[in-house]
Amino acid sequence: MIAVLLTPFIFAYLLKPIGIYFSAPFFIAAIIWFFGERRWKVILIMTLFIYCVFIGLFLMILNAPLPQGNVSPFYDFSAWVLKLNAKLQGI
Amino acid sequence: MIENFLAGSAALFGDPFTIGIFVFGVVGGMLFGAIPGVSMLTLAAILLPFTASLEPAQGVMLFAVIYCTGTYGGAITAILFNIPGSAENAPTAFDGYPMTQKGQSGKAVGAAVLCSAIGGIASALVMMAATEPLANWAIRNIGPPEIFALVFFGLVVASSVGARTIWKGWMSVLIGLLIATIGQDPVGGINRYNFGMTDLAAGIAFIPAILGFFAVSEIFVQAEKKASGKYQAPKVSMTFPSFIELWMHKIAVLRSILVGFFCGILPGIGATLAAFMSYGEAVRWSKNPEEFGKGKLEGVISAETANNAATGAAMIPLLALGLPGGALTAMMVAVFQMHDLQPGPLVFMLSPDLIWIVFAAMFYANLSILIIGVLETKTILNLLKIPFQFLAPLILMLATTGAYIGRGLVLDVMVMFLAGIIGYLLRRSGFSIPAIVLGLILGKIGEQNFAQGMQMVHYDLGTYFSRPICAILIAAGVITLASNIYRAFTSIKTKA
Repeated sequence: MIAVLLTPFIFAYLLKPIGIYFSAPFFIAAIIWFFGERRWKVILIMTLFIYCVFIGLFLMILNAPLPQGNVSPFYDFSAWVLKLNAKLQGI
Repeated sequence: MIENFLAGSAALFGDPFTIGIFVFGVVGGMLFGAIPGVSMLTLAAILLPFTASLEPAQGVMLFAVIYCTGTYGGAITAILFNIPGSAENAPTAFDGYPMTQKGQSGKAVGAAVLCSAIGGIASALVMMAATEPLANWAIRNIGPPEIFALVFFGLVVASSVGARTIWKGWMSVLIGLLIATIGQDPVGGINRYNFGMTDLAAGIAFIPAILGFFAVSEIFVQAEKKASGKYQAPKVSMTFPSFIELWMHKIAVLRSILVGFFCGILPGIGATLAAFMSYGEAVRWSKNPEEFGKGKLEGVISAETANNAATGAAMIPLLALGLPGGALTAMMVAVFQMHDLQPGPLVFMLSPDLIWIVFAAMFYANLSILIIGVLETKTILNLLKIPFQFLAPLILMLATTGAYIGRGLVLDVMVMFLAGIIGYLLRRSGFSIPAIVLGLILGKIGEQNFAQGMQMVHYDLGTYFSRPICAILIAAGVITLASNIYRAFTSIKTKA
C-alpha cells in the first residue's frame, strides 16, 4: 500500500526533469500492476491504449502545454513526440 | 420569469456545442454517479481545469447538469446490487435492494427514476422563482460582515455532517481552514506558510486540492480494496409505478420535496443528508415503521425524491449569496473564479443570461432523467463490467494533466498527490473530505470578507453584533455548535 501511495509522488517529482511523455507509460503500467493485474500482455495492451487516449486527447485535440523534461534523452523524446504531432496535423 | 426561462432555453438549445456539453453532462453525471468507486465529484474534479476553455455559462451549466443527474445515477446500482454509486443514494438501498430480492426491481427502478425527476423539477422551479428576489434583497442587506457570519454558520453546519464524530468533523473543517491560510494574507500581503517557495505565495490552488481530495484519494481507497468488478447481473426490467400507486404516496413525495429542499438550501448539508433525513422522516411518519428496510416502495420514493430536491435548492445560496453549500457547488465557485466572475448577487446584474442558461439546463437535466433513465439502465449494467484497474490509471493521468495545466507548475501536481494521500488517510479514520474542502474554500471567502468588514467598521468588532442579520447568523451558528457539543457529550454518557 505504501508503494501505491509513493508511486504517484515519484511520478510527480520526475515530471520536471523527465517530462510526461516519457514517464506516463511506466506510471500507467505501474498503477495497473498495483490494482492486481498480473498478465503482462494485458498490462502492455492497456498501457498502450490509455497512453494513446491521453496523447490523442491532450496533444492532438487540446494542444495542451505539458511538461517536456529538461534532461537530455528524455527531452529529446518529448521533442520527437511533439514534432510527430506537428507533422500529423500538417503544420 | 417565464420569458427569462424561454430565453435561457433558447440560448441552451440554440448552439450545437452547448447542446453537446449538456448531453455530455447528463450522460457523464449519470455514469459516474452509477459506477461504484468513482462519483460525480470525481468527474467534476477532472473536468474542472478544462472548463477554462469554455464560456462561463457553459462551464457552470455543465456542473449544474452533472449535479442533477449524478445525484440520480447511483440509485440504479443501489437498488440492484446494494452498492450505492455515491453516498446520497445510500438510503435508496435500504429498501431498494430488498425489493430486488423480492423480484420487484423493475418497480423500484421505475419509482427511483420518476421520483428523482419529480423532486428535481419541483426544486428547479422553486429555484427559478426564489433566487432572483433573494439576490435583490441580498445586494441591499448583505455586506462583508454578513458574509463572514454566513461562512461561520456554514462551517458550523459542515462540521456536523459527514464525519464519524463531531470532533472529527471540526478537525476536518479546521484542516481546511489551515490549508486556506497558506499564501499571502488578504490585507497586508504577508507570506504565510510558504517555506520560502515563491510558487506557494499565491496559496494552494483550489483545483489541485479538489482533484487530490476527491479523485486521487478515491483511487487509493479502491487500491486498498482492490475491488474487482464482479457483479452478477440480474435481469433488469423497468415498470413505472402505476398512477394510483404514486397517488397513494403523494404525501411522501411532497414531504420529501420539502425536506430535500430545506436541507439543500442550508450551507454545508446537501443531498446526502437530505436523503437520510427524508428516509428518517418517512419511517417516523409511517403507521407501521417496521415494514421499512424490508422492501417498502415508500423508502425508495422518499430517498430519491429528497436527494434530487436538494440540488436546485443548493444553487440558491451559491447564486444569490456567493456561498457554496457542498463539494460540487464549491467547485462551481472555482469555475466562476476561473472566468474572473464572483458568484453572488452581482452575477444577476452583470450576466443574467448565464443564470438563466444554468436554470434552464437544470430543469431539462431533471426532465431528461426520465428519458435517459429508461434507456440507460441497461448500459450502466454493462459499464459495471469495466475492471477498475484500467479506469484508475486513466483517472490519474487526467487528474495529473488537469492539475498541471491550470498554472503550468509541477508543484500543483505534487500538491494534488499530497492531498490525495492526506485525503485517503483521513477518510480511513472517519474524517469528512467535503468538510475539508468547504473549510478551504469558505476559509478564503470568510477571511477576505472578515478583513474587509473590519476595515468597514474601523476595527470595532462590536459592530458585527449590532448589525441584525450578522448577529442573528452568528447566534444561530453558536447555538448549533453548542447543541452539537451537548449532544456529543450526552451520547457519550448514555453509551457509558
